[in-house]
Amino acid sequence: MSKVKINNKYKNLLLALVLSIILVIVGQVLQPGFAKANNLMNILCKASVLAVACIGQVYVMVSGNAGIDMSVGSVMSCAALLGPALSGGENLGLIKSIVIMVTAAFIIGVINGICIQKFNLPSLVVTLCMGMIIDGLTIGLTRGAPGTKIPSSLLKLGVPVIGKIRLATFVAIILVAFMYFILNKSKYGKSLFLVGCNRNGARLAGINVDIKVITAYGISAVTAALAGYMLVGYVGSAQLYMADEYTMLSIAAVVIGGTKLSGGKGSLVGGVLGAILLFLLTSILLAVGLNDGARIAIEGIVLLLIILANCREKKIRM
Amino acid sequence: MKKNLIKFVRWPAFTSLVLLLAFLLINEIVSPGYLTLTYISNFLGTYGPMIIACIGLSVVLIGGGMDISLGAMMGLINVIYVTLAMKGLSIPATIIISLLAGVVCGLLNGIFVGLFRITPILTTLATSYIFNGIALFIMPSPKGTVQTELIQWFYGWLDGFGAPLLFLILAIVSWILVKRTKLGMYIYAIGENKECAYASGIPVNLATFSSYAFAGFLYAVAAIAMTTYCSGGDASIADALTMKSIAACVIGGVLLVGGIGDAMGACFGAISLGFMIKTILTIVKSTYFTDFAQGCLMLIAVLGCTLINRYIARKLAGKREVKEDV
Repeated sequence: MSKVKINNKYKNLLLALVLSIILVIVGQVLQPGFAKANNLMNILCKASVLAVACIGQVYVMVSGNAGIDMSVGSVMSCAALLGPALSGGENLGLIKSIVIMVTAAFIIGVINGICIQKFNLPSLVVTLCMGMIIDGLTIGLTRGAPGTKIPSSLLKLGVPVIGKIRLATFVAIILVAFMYFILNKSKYGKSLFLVGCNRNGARLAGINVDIKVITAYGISAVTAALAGYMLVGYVGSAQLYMADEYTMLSIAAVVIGGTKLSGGKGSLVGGVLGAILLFLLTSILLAVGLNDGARIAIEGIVLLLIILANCREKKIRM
Repeated sequence: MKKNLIKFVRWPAFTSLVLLLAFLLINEIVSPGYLTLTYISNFLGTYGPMIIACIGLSVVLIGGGMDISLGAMMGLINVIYVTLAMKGLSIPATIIISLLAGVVCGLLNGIFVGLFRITPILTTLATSYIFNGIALFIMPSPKGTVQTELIQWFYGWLDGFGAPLLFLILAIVSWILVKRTKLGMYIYAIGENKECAYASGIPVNLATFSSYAFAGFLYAVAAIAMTTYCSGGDASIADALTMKSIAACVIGGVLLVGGIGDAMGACFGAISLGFMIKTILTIVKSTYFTDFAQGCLMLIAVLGCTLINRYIARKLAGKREVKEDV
């Protein structure tokens, strides 16, 4: 008798993957045509935006000490609104605007990180307040009227390039692969895992914990800004608060993918699978024709069940 | 005398009380003679629900939990209340059913956190989707009103001053009652250290359930106060309250890791937050930048209050005789 033993490391990934495949089949049964390449690739395109937003969330959660970034949605909205405005609707200005926005986002993330790491404040509260500040800044700078032209090259993100696969998916794959390499192969990533597992151990090993954690928050803000660009490119028009829900979605996706809130454990691939799973679920429920309320409630129940299945805390009684 | 003073300064709510007084003064400078009875009744009407919700949230936080389903739950109770009122139920019946709904929702959170051992923030993230979904299912778009007699009573009693105050006093008294009983001590104990509490024979799960259920009860009180003040139903009526309440609790000296803090601090924190918003609305002329200013001030307040609280705790840490009171 040969026993198939699944490596514990991949257990969470497998759960998300199997659930995704089941969802595709269920979708096809409930709504014939759901599993068509065009529809699936469209869902994948939506999921790629979330996947990019998830990158930073994984970094922050891996950094430990109950790290969580609640400003993801606000930074995304900010980039989605101000980015195209900065570029002036021209393709040439786009690079410049991305550079400016990424720098600004990094500074925001660093401020988050400094408040959290140097002053030892709870990350939840700091990033919530930062989210409010950024939202306020976005409203103030756009005067509440987001009516700018979006550069045509940005709009191409939602257009199929090879087969039915959208450009945004490729951008997401490149970004995730790059950040995966940094997280899992580079010295920085390895030390970040150690910082998340054991702060004191990392300190004793000669790692500059503060810099690592602050950089993680910086990376989170940067990826959120890039996800904002992708979102506005995919949607085609900018609105105030357009990425509000992405904060919660990114946390949900990352947690489904097996990243632990307690830190030191996380996987970017899991985050991507979580993002795909969430959007598959949403689109199936939409395809079935449920109204908003029932759809959100069912999403919540499914989320609760997945969390129940893969990240329970230890028993108090040993 | 000195012992009492140290005890007072070490009270977790002390910093937020000072902040509250400071903002009372700042408001006096910004707009002289503002503190009229109308102002107070308006203030209590607008920010009363937030203050009550903060008291509820702080109980959860003291127990080492976290609740980000606050806004969604209040939205759900608001919708339930308005729907029942539109169906023609009597005032006591609607109030009792809404309070029960709050307790049940809170208990649901508590069961998932306590019995199923899911991290509180993830539990409440998921349940906030569920509550919001149910609320939207019941009432897809904002509509409805509450019983006319209730509105008349709310705005009429003592110039609209009595009703919000009554709700607030109800919340504070219920907190004091809980704190005085064994349950209050249990909640502090599980917040401080769950394993130790368990080893000492404290019913950890029961205490977790009750802290969430009590919070749910207070959210329901807050939602009823809010519903009566706004006299309308909307599933997303309290969405902005979640983050403001968490910030207010932190300003009020409630630690997110649990075990330390006092609901009165959260109460003062929420009141100061209300005054902050009022001050900003007076000072910042451009309406576009009020949110920005609010966020900045909130971050500064959180930073300042936490650091001051920590400083006080460190400075007076040697005083053994007052330690057990915290």
